[in-house]
Amino acid sequence: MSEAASVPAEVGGARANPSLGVLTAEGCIQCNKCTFNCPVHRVDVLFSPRKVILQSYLGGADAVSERDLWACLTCGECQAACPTQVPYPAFIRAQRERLRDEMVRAAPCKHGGLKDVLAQIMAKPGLRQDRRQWIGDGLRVADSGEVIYFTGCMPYLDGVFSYCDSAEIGRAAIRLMNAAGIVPVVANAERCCGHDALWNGKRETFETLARANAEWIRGSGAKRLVTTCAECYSMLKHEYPKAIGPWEGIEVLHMSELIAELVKDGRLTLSKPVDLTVTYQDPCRLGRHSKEYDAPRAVLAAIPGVTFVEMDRVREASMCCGVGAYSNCDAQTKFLQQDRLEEAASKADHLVTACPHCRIHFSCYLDGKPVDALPALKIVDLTVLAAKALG
Amino acid sequence: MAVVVEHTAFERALAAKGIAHDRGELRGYASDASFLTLGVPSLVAFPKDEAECVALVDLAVRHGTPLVPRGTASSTAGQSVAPPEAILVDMERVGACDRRGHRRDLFAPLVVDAKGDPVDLAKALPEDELYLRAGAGRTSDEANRALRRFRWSVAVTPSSGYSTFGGNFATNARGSGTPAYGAFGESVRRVRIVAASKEGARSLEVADREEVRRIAGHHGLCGLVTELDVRIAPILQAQEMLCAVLMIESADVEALGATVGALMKRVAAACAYYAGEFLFIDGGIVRPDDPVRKDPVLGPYFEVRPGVRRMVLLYRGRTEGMQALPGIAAEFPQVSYREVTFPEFQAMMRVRTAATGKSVARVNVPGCEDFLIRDPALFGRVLVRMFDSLAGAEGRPVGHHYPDGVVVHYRPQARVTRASIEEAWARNLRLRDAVLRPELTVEDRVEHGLGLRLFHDAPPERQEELRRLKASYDPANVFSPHLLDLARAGEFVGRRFTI
Repeated sequence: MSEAASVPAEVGGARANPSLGVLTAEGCIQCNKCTFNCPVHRVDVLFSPRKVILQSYLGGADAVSERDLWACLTCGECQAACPTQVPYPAFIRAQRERLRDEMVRAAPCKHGGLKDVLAQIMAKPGLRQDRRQWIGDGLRVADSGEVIYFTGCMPYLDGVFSYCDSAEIGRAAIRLMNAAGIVPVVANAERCCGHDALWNGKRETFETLARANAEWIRGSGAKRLVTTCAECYSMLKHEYPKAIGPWEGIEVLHMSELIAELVKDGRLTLSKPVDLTVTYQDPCRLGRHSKEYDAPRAVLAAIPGVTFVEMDRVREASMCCGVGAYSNCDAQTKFLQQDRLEEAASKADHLVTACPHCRIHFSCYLDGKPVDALPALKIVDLTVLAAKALG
Repeated sequence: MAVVVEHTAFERALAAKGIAHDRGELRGYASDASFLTLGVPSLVAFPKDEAECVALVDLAVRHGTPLVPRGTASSTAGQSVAPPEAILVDMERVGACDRRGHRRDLFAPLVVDAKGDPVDLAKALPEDELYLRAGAGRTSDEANRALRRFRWSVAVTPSSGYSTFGGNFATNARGSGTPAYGAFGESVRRVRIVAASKEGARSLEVADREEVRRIAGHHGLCGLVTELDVRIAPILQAQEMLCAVLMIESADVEALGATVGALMKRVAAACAYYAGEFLFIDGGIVRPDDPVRKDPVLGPYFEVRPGVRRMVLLYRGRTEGMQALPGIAAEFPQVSYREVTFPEFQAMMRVRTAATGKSVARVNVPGCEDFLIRDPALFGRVLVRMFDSLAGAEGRPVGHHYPDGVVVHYRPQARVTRASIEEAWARNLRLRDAVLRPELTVEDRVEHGLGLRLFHDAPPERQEELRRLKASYDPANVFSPHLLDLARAGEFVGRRFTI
């Protein structure tokens, strides 16, 4: 005690450690609500955001174990529940960035390594891509126009996650836009949005990608930037403006927002009944990170024949799909997914999500060997479901 | 600085029994929400059920090692901090885990009647006396989610919906829920507790109502509570209830408090309310961009004129039990009265609930913030002393109006720096000296107030009762023995901050 008391208050601390500044900007009151709401804590009792924060306040931020640093899903359940809104995911992100070079761990989980490489390739100058191969006949896209469809890494995902047909989401998005008279731009100049790079501590890669994307988007003359991916959405809408300045005259939309708007304005009619009982998974990046809870539900309400049943943990209290930014995927992930899918299966036979990555992570779990038997449950993307209702 | 106590044999025994534990970097367990500390615990155990609690207590008795139980949530008085020689026992998982030991927050409720016989809740009548049988690690938020589909909820909702039932019972918490049912301990019909004998653990079932009430508020001295029967109540529908916001403002705090105290006396005598809350509104109580500021009905409550104190009271109850409220309010011309919808009431309650702990870029520094004023007529005098003590500080008094008195909370707020936190802590102590006086207030068996000061500040009759209970349930003296040590005072963790 006496040793500690003799340490001047100014020594070390937030100025020396900017990650700590993230925590102190909103003071933690140690109420433990974060830990209690943390999905990881449910399966790993030793993992505790509250514990890490107090440890950091006591000068042990850099002693946070690599396990604790990488086990965090950055899903934001902790922050949503926090009475003082301590931005724990931002702290983890800053610590990952700060300690990146000192850590034993070289890459995120297996598939994360692949995405890591993909992002690094896309950050290279002079990259040439054909990003339209997946589109297929009968769908109209353009080289220029008012609406850009930012596809994200979706065209590349099917090479790895073959059980998902992620390109189906893109085709459904274009079908819906075409049906509303929109011919979207799908650009070969598009690069990875940088989501995983940013959340896994590689800010430089993220900023390179953000600059490259901003350059062609700003030069395109488009007014709207639409994406079907919740991760891309959170980057384009919230992180890009911080990194490359505000989007002057360009509006960023998640596809669910566009569909809801088109339906409301009478520009899109969803008339064909889709007789399914569905429930909805709020993706972390669309929900807690972006506060968009209503548009996906409005889309579900607009699809004839759909019976929508909410799960018990929804909106701000929604449970993560188990993987965040591909930084983690282990046995505990599987237990979380089992928990969430049991909840979904108790409500419906189709789980709808508005993020291709939630879809992949849940589908991956179902494609493997679930921890316990689950009733038949299909994971469906919201955009794909909406496109089924086109007459 | 750190006192390290080796618990190698104990740890080996825990590992052999498969009880989750941690002996790694434990600085994060040095404090609870009080920012009080007795040092860094040397070992933390996480039992998942009663069998593991029994094994843990057996080991503790055999090794002569103290155990300090901790629930989850605020524990704002240091009662759940462990000295280095003790083992901190995190009770959050007890009775809340699946067969793999993973905590599951969704569960199917087991409801019993007053005799303990299972009941089909779907067939229950609103007047039935029913209890949820739940593990000590369950919370009212979880329980309410499980009960919601039947339109029932936990009868006494403590301030923190995420606090565990075991912790609510150990602190005898009560909050903004239903004063009609009293404190948490009064809403519990039966508990299972792993107590100690000089030979080892004893699993006890306590079903005698009076005994249950006596051990409520034991602050971890009597054993590890593993299961409780917790009273539940039907959820009122919006059309069945009356929600009202009353407001008064004045530059004269004593007059304001006296008026409100008189009003509260009348309300307590004439109304059956389910929630009675108050808060002082100031500029920092909600963020500048909080939607409540723009709400056409609620927004004006947040426009405070300089130089005056504005107090808002919130009452909610079944309509027939609240019929006298408008008339009572009319007796006090200084008080404005408005009936609001339930969603509007909930919005104000969110402000109220967050008011003790929410301020941009600040932590609150709790420790001695519960003052129970048995006679509301003294409210004005208490408020004067409180505002004098917190002159120049941030934060504001808030609290509950219970039928048996007024509970006032105040937590000084501090920037997250060592100096600022220490200053807030010093203010806390000054506030305690100024307000905690026999002629004004008592700090009683409520959730936030005592903790490490249990035996300094509890009334003598309660001290005596706790000592008797301790001797009965824990003759081996393994549960939180440091709380009985009058000479032992907690340090303040803020002194160790390196920020």
